Amino acid sequence: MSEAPDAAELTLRGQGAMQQGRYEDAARAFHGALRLAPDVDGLYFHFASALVWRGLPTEALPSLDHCASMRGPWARRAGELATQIRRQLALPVHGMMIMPACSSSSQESTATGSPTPSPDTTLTGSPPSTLRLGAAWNAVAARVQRRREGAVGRRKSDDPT
Amino acid sequence: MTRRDVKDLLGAPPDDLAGAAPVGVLEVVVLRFLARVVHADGHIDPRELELLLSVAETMALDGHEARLILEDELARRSDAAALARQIADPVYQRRVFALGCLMAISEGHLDSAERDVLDAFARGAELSPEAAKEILDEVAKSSGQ
Repeated sequence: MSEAPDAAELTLRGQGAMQQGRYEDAARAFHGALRLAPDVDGLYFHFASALVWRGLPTEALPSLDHCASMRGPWARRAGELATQIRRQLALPVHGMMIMPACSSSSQESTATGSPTPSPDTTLTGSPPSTLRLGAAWNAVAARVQRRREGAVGRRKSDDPT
Repeated sequence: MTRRDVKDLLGAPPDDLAGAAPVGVLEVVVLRFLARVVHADGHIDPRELELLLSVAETMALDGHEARLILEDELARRSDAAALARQIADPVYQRRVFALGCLMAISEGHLDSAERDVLDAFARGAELSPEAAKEILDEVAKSSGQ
């Protein structure tokens, strides 16, 4: 009987799955690794990354926030990615508890206080989503139209009169 | 293997976020939903795949990224309700749902599998059955179905 994989093996599986575009498998592997090695901050980042690629960005945010709060080597990138995701999802950017104090423009906060507002975030609003659907709609609508025209053309050719 | 091994495997954090996430996070959600609709019956033909790729292009998704995401989606179907919950704005949820309806009827008919996917998205978006039907009917009407 084979032994259960350890954190390193699961990490390798996750990395391999990410390279192959198998994002759900990657997320599962990183999650398994996290359960075995919860003190490795980079695993939270990779788990979150897999979730984002899997189309679940909101579910990635808690891991990114936790990674940032651990103030380890991955904290800065985790905070940046969380901010990027929140902007794209039009969520309040200040939703993070703690931001890494790594640049003059970053927010400083305590575990219990609210973050200091920065010029590009607000406490009540956030930049609107820039999701563009108009062109996507037109592409699908054009397909519908072509199909209809093709069907009409076939009916006419079938009708000898 | 030790925790140190895990850290060694992960290496140092990257210099930037390239690769950590797709360029368009919401666009990926939309693309996955549309693919989920098209692939509802377990089949997808080349024209449908081409349509998905063209839609991805309109949303400014990188072609290579789009192909990876579509391959993953076709292999591991997403939960449409979970996808809906990624979109915070109810207006956008409705728009994405409408786009899904249009994609579903793009072949001229709406089968039960596609309807199930649309229903799941509507539930995730907390759209009432009446509101969902209204959107579907409007899309069908506007597309001449």
